[in-house]
Amino acid sequence: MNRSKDPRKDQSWERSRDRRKTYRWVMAALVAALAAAIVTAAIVGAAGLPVQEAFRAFSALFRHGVDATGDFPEWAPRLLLDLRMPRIVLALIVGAALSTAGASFQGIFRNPLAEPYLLGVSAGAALGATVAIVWKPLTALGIYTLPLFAFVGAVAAAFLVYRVATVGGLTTAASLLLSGVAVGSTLTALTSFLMVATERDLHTVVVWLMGGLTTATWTKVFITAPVVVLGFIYMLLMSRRMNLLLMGEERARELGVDSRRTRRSLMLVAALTTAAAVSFSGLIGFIGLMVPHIMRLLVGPDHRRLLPATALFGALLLLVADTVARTAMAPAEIPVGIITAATGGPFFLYLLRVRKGV
Amino acid sequence: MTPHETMAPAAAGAPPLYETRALEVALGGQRVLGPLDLRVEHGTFLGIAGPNGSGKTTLLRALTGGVKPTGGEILLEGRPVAHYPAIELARHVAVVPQRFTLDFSFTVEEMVAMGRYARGGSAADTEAVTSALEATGMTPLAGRLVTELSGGERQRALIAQALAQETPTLLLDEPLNNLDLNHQLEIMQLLGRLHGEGKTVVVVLHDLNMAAQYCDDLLLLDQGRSAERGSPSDILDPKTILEVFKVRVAVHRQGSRPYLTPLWSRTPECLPPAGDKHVHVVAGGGAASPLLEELVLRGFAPTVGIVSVFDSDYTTAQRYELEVVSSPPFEPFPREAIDEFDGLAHSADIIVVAPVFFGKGNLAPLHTALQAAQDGKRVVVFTEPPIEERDLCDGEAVALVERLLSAGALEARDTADAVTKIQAASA
Repeated sequence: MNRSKDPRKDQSWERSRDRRKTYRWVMAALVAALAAAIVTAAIVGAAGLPVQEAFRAFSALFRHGVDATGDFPEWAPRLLLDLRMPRIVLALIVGAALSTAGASFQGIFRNPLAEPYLLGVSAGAALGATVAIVWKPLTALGIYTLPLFAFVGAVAAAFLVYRVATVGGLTTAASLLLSGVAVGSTLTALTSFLMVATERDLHTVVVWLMGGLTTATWTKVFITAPVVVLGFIYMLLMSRRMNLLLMGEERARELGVDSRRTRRSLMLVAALTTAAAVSFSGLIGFIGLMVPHIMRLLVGPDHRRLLPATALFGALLLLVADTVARTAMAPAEIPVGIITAATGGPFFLYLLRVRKGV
Repeated sequence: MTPHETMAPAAAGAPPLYETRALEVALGGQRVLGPLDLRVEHGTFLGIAGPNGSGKTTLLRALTGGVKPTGGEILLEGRPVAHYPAIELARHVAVVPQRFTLDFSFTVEEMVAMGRYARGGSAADTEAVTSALEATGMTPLAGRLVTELSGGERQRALIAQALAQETPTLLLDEPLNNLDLNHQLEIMQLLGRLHGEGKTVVVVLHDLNMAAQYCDDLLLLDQGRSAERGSPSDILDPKTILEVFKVRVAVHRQGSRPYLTPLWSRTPECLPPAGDKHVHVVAGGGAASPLLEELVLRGFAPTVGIVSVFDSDYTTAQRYELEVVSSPPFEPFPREAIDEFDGLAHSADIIVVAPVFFGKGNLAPLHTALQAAQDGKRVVVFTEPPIEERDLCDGEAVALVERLLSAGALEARDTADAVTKIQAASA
């Protein structure tokens, strides 16, 4: 059998090279798409602002600030800055948060069907938010009461799930999943009870549960952004270790990874990231499960590439979905979770037909 | 079997690579390993063998830190294994477990590159990965997805991953499972090469013969304790194998290494049927060896004679631990030997005359056989090759054989035929 001198010239290395090339193309496409989506989202909307004028206002805003004037209504830059831009940025942040947390959970549980709501995070956030809506406590905090309660609920639920699942110092993936289901369904039952008990606020609760970015403000952005960005940086730093964890805790340990500690801290960071996103956006489904899955089909399972690609695509997807949500049936808003589910499912089906595995 | 210290001679001063003192490991409340005192020196090629459940894998896991001792201690370079952080341990010791799961579409190259984690990502990475792939013959498969590999290819990818770690010590748990003979030899030869380059290799093996061929040092475990420790030649004898594995084996030699062939197991269902009839064989010049082997495999314990101590039939009898009447070489058979042979013939149920070449010096056993036939004992005589061609004593042997046949002895054309007739006669 002939062996070429440089094994890299061998046909078998094709796939590794393919991966690197594909990744560059995908990232470039995502960045371009994101730029286009941001501009589009900025200039369309229900405010009765024609698209051309909005575009001029958008570029004027960037060059001259919010007091810029030009061939557009003088309230246009302020509309963009105070209303649309925060919503756009929040969509990007929440989209990236949910998708990267989903990718991390899928890595930790070695299961491409894991998602960020696994550890009771969604059930805890739902209960917290419902309590805030129905009982209206701590009115001093105003509009931040609900996000705070949602966040506390999410994090408390995650801790509870973890404690319940830890037996004799050992926390297996199986016990975590079971514990998540157990705690989650209990919390959901409590939430449902509260929903039934209230008539007046039922609509508010349901809308929150379906997820939405309607009340986005820069303050909310500045609260969530650090958590999500730091969380992402942490996950990225752990990406090599996450790869090794895919071979199981024992094998990862043999290769030099402190498996127990790494898994635990990754779970914590992913749960915090999810909680931060969910407290301000409600329960937006599909992104945390499908985005990493789709990206894995395109760029491969190596987390060093998967995480950045997932973050970009999650951000893009939620931004597009949110833009559709607020313009498709203007002036009414469709809950964004409906848009993400409706578009994502078929897309994933298509990808499964075209490519063969995860 | 008492646990005894299994100390290989120690180098002065420097701690051994591994040392265990009264090591005990209990799993699920059951003591699986120990108490065990063990020393593994740097640069050894140690094989660990033993029956299922003897604690081999548990011992290996104790060495890799995968399982903590429930009693005693285990030291790596003088420090307890548990004190090493995972990443430091991975720089000293690379492990090849029995199997792995990786249900994600990494390429073989990517999987092997994971082994470089403990080395922290340096320029030497690609080189280490390339040579690991070369050493295991996985280079043509470097771009293949791990989900598309066959069992043997998975095994080799795992070994490559461990090799990429470039550690001074390699621990392997039954690395030859799922490999065809070709690849088994490749791996053992690779391990031998690595050992020659200075690595310490500790390998748990099922296959005693592979271990005997390649390992210089062998540890036999039995029910969690050390049964024997030493070179394969020293410790692989039929008595030890029978005690530890409950299997009767014959020990042969390939070069300087022992080679075991199984005879039968001790459990009643496996014992061949005709074990209790006494078969007495007239042997000489290697003519009886095939027959003796076939009889032993069927549970017989034939007695053999009269053979010179340099006769290969004598060696065969020794190998299978058969009672043999021997004679000093280059002499006529002494009286005591003939008497001993006659005594055995008298108590035998069946007498077999192998296709021996008869000269004046070894006719006595043939006379004995004739006497036995005339006394009514069952006798089987090989008639191929024809006695005329085997007579070196001017026709005396031919005459004796003719009288044997007329006295009622059975003819046998070859070993299989003889065995059939012997089994029929002992039913």
